[in-house]
Amino acid sequence: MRRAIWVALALSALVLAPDSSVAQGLPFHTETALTTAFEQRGLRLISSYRPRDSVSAVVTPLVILPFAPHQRVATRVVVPLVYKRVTTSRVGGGTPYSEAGVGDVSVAAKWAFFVRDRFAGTTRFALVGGVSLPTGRTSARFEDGSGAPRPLQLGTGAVSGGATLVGTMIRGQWGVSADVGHRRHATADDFQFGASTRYNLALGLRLPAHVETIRTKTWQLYLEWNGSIAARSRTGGNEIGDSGGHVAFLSPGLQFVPLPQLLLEASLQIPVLQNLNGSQLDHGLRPTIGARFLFF
Amino acid sequence: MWKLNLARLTGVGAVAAMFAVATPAAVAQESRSETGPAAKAEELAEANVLLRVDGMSCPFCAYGLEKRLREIPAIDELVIRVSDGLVQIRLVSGAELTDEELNEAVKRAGFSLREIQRLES
Repeated sequence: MRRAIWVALALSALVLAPDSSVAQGLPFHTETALTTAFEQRGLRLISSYRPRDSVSAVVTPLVILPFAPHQRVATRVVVPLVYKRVTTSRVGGGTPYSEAGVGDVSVAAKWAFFVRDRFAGTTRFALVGGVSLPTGRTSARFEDGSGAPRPLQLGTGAVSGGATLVGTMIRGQWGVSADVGHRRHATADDFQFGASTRYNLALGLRLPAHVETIRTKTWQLYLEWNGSIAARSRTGGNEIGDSGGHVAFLSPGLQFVPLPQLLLEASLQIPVLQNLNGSQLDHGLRPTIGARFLFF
Repeated sequence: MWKLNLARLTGVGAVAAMFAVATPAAVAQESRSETGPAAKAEELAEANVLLRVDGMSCPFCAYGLEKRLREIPAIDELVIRVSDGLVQIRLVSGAELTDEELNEAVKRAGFSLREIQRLES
């Protein structure tokens, strides 16, 4: 019965996709077509600092609970703990404020529909889908009582979801993963975030080249390209000029595996392309640290 | 303290023993622990089954395979050699382990079993 619930959850979630920041791949922000072992459970804790311009800051620790109800299916529940802070009156015309709490909880599933293993390597393709629920608060207000803009709220206020196609190829110590996904948001309170398409590419190098046993301590170096193209958001049936655009980050990262069931990681997302519509806050450097645990 | 930790960690002694047999690094390892690894080295020589597994690429990915295999009562000890795509298994004395059991364990771990070799111990 319990397994049936997980399978039903996985299948229902396949229709839609999660945010790239909760990618459960060995890379940081790019998905992977690899799945965890059958019935294997895990935990990923990741904290990402996401400043935009010098006037706002966002810290997003994420709790991710992956589980595999089948050897080719992996599910995950993501509970984001969000802290947002606005430090000047430039944003939204109000006074400074800060908000902290649970953001939008999402459920997702990954199905590896193509698997071709080989000696010390593999080629796999997977479909990832998920839904994000409006669990995060949207009632934040500036000190003068005016409502904060929707992008500054803890949650989006609306259901969203989409699908992502991902491919992973590993040959010896080298690995490459790539994904492309589309995400759409429902309308809530007469506001709709613009649909977005994200695309990611990750190149990984495992050190040492020869891994004697699974208890050999290993390092993994990554270089990722993380891109996102978003349409303008809409309110009152009209597009918001100062929204949407094309953003891309170059993201070097380092992972350390001291034990076969433990992975420590850190990465830095460097904004290299910010073709934003209208007048918007620029993205700053985004450092990320995290740890992953595997258990049954 | 170093010796004690090695002895307590399941499989680590066996891993150290493999170093001792196959690489110079193992010599150093063995010199740090005179009893556990040396004993394990003899035990490893008694491996009954050798699996060739495709798809293994990193320790973090292969952890599920070890957990799956250790759930099989007939398996006494095992060592996964990631880059070699090999799993060395020593069976419990008198126990039998079918190819189907091994294939199912590898499959559920998300990998592909290419070959099973039964070794004379």
